[in-house]
Order: sequence, then structure tokens, then C-alpha cells
Amino acid sequence: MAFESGAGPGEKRIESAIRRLSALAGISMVMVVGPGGEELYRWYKTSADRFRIGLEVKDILELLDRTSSFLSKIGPGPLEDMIIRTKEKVAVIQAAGNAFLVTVAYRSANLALLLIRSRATAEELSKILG
Amino acid sequence: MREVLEASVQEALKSGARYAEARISKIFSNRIEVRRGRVERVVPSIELAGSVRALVRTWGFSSTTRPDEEQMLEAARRAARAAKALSSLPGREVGLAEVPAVEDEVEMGEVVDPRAIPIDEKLEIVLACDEAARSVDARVVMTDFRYEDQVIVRAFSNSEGTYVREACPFTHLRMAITAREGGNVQTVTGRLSAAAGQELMAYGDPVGMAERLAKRAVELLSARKAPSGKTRVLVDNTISGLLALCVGVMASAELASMPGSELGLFHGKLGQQVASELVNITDDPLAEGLTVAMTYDDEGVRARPVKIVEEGILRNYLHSRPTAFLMGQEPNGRARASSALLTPMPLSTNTVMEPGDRTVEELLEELGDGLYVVGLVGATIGGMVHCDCEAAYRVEKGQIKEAYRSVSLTFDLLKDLKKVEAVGSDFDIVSLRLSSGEASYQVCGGGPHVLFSELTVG
Repeated sequence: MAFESGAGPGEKRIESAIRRLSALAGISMVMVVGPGGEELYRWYKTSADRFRIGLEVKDILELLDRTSSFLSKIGPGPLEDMIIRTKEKVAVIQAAGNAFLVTVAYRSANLALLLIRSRATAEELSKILG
Repeated sequence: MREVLEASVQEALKSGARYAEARISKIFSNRIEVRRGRVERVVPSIELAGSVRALVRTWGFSSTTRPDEEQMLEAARRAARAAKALSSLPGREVGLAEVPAVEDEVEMGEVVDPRAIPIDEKLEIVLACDEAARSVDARVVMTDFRYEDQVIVRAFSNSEGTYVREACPFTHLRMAITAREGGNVQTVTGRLSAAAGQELMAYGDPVGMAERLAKRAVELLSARKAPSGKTRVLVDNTISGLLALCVGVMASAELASMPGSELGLFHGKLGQQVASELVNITDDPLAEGLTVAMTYDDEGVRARPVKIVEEGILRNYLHSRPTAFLMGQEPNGRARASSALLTPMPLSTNTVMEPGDRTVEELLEELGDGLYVVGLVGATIGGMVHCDCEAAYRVEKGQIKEAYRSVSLTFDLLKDLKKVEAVGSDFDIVSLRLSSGEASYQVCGGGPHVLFSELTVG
């Protein structure tokens, strides 16, 4: 397991919260983006994943910004989650209160369980981050 | 598998049959039951079955739970002996409608194969649903979750040169959540069901569904019991889906040929008005995203969509080869057996009432004063159809006023389907298991919201 931590409150608590999510087979990366757009936490399954996945906080913020108009037109209410799939990977962006939990996994990961654990982790994070 | 099937067919012919067919089924399944946070059952299983049907003047049949070559050849000999013995008795000769011989293998397609997912991961999903439901409110006293996934592999061969092998997935999660306050008890149910793999559990949002159902059960505790009597009624998709499913069941040519039977309502009614002209009902085993997926039936006949009711007129029965021959009609690939241990009979698959052109808001307006009934909980299907529903809403001048709990509706199908006044443009499905004796079949009904001029409530 290889991880990097960003600046932010309760780093140990965040690490503990994402442990169950990151233990799921097929997960490559988990990132927590704070309410102010700051990176609070980042974890990679392996060092190779750290080099292969070049995702940054600005990429997440840009995606959320680009989809805000779309979201406002499809109906009321804030974003709950977003699932993005490519041929080999799946990414889930889960709202965690005012923060966001981002998970990248291989397509072989159990998506149903990933969504369930992602949601549970996001609930815990929203309590930690306030 | 193919060699065993073809050898069995030849053995039956050698033993005196004029026509023979052999089937093998392999059902890989996982069943999980969780109640109030307790794991009641986790059962992975593989069911193997094989059988031979032999025809002289009439059928002989023999099955085995060990479909290896030795047992299947023995089944072939037994089936042929039975056919010869029964054919010596007085009775009608069985004929088979002609169909072209076909060779085909149909795979599952792009699904997440349930066999590839560890059972503990499936259990975790069901437990998460259970916990989500129980966390909603202390008045949620009972939660009942039943999960099942299957991969059904069926193979068929006959003496006309047909060989087909087909693999189908099926995933199903049924939830029943009960809330109680004093002596007042309210149960709501929900189902996620499709001829799909594990992806159903991802995209169907079972945890979200469990939470919503639990909230609904609690909300209904404060609702009054609905008044009984006859009134104008708007029903939701689960109930119209049940009615479509009932039409599909009764359209079985075998049932329709039994005039004295409770389910033989459609006997002699081909070409007659059985419903309002707004009603169109189709049975389609090839439609994507529904519960039953079947390219070939259990007689090796290619299945196709069948328009059962067109503008209220009964147009077609659902046939096996013998019933199609008997009635002088085209076979349409509906011979189904829940496993190779049983003989196939004509049965519906996914029977849907086609949507119309009204939004739900427009239907409420047309309802005016009446009841809006939602949420099928359970039903008994016979000459009359009784269904228990979660709730109803009193509607006054098209506006929803008050909720009622625990509503039942009784349908006299042949009369009440003619009382359809308007059909919605929405669509959803209900998936049920039909049981009759040893046999148990998955069927699916679907439909829009439907407005009836009058129904019996209570």
C-alpha cells in the first residue's frame, strides 16, 4: 500500500474512514477533496498506481464545474454521486457533505459494493469534516 | 453436453419412439436471506437435471438429477417404454407443429457474471440494505431481504436435428419492511429483478430503495384504513403490471383449452373483445432489461414477441408445439419448464401493457374524485384476481388529499379490463414467481399507470 497525505484536519480519522473502502479488491486510488477545493487525503493501492493515475484535485473541480449546468437542468437537489466508466477503469465521485470522495478502480471491482462502501465512507467523512 | 443429448435422442428412437427430445439444465445459484440483521440463510448451489421426452402416439417422459451419459441413456429407454405403454391406451394422438431445425449457442452477453463475485460480497450488500432500513426509525420492527442470483444453462436436442444451448443470468432482491406502532402494522415491499448479472445491484441502488421503503412504511402508520366499495381508481405500474401478467398467464394455450378451469378465462375468446380498446398487451422474452430472457424455449423453438391483446381484442395464445398443432396455429416459442426435471408447458415470459399517452398528472385530473392505489404487496390469481396493496390516496377534483393504508383490490378480469378509461405514458415492471405444484416460474409483468372507471376496493 502506498499513500500520500494532504494537509487537512483529522488525517488519521480520514485514513481510518477510508480503510474499508480501500480494502475492496480492484480499488486503485482514493482521494478526499475538501469543501474549499483543497486536497485532504490521497491513497494509492500500489506505487505503480501512483504513477499511472495522474488525477489531481483541479481535474475533479473542473469536472464538477463543467457538470453543474447539466445537473441544474435535470432536476433539483445537489449531486449525490457520479459514476464514470472507461474500458478498463471506473471512477466514482461521491458527495461527502460539502466535500467529495473520489475512488478509482478497475472495471473488475464489484461496483455494487464499491458504491455501498463509498456511500458509507462519505457519511463518515461528512461527520469528520463537518 | 451435446454428445450426451444426441446419444439420448438416438437411444429413444432405437427404443421405439417416432420423435424424441433431450434436455439438460444446469442452474448455478446463490440465495441469501437476512431478517432483522440476522443472516438466516446463505446457500450457494448447483442443480443439475436432465430428461428425455419420447413420442409414439403420446408422450413418455423420464428425468434424472445425474445427467451423465449412462443416466440419460437409461432415461431415454424409460421414456420410450412409457410412451409405448401410454400410446396403447385410448386417447388423442399428440401432434407437433412444424418448426425448422436449428443449431445455435447463445451466451450471456455483457453482464457481470454472478459466479465471479464472492458470496461474502453479495452478503455485504444485503446486510447494508437491512441496516439502512432498520436505521430509518425505531418503529421499523421487521426487515426481510431475499436475494437470489442464478446462471441458468439450458441445452436441448431433438430427433429433427435441432441443438440449442443457452445461458441466462438472473438477479433478484426482494425486500419486505414492516413498521409497527401499537397494534397498527404496515408492510411495504420492493423488488429489484432482471435477467441481468451483478450490475443490477450497482445500478438498481438497493440501499436507497430499502431506505425509501422503510420511510414509506413509517409514514403509512399514520394513515387510515381505506373505505371499501366501488369507486373510480387509478392504479400504478405494479398493479397494471400484475394485470398484464395475469393476461399472459391466461393466454397460455394449455390453460385456455380448459374451459372449466379457473384460469381458462380465455377459452374460445380468440378474436373477441376482452378489454378496452385502449389496452394492448404483448409478451416478449427478448425485451432487454426485464426479468425473463429466452431466445429459445424448452422445445428448441425460437421465441418471438407475441401480441396477446390488440386494442382490446384477444389476438393470440402462447403456444408449445403440441398446442399450436392442436389449434392449427403457429408455434411462438413459449414452452417453458423451470428445470429439465419437468415437462415444458406454454407459459408467459415478460408480459407488458403498452404505455399510452397520458402523464400521471393528467390521469389524476381525469380521475377527478376517486382513489389512487399504489404498491402491489401480493396477489392471488384465479378466476378473480385479489391483490393487496401498500397504500391508496383519496383524490378530490384531481388533487391528492389523504393517504390510506393496506388497500385491497379485486379484479374480475374479463369485466374490469373493459373499464379502462385512460392509459399512462410511463412504464415500470413487477417481477413475480408463479408456483404450481412442483413447478415454479419467474414471470414479469409491466405497465403504465391505468385509470379504471370503477373497481372494487376493500
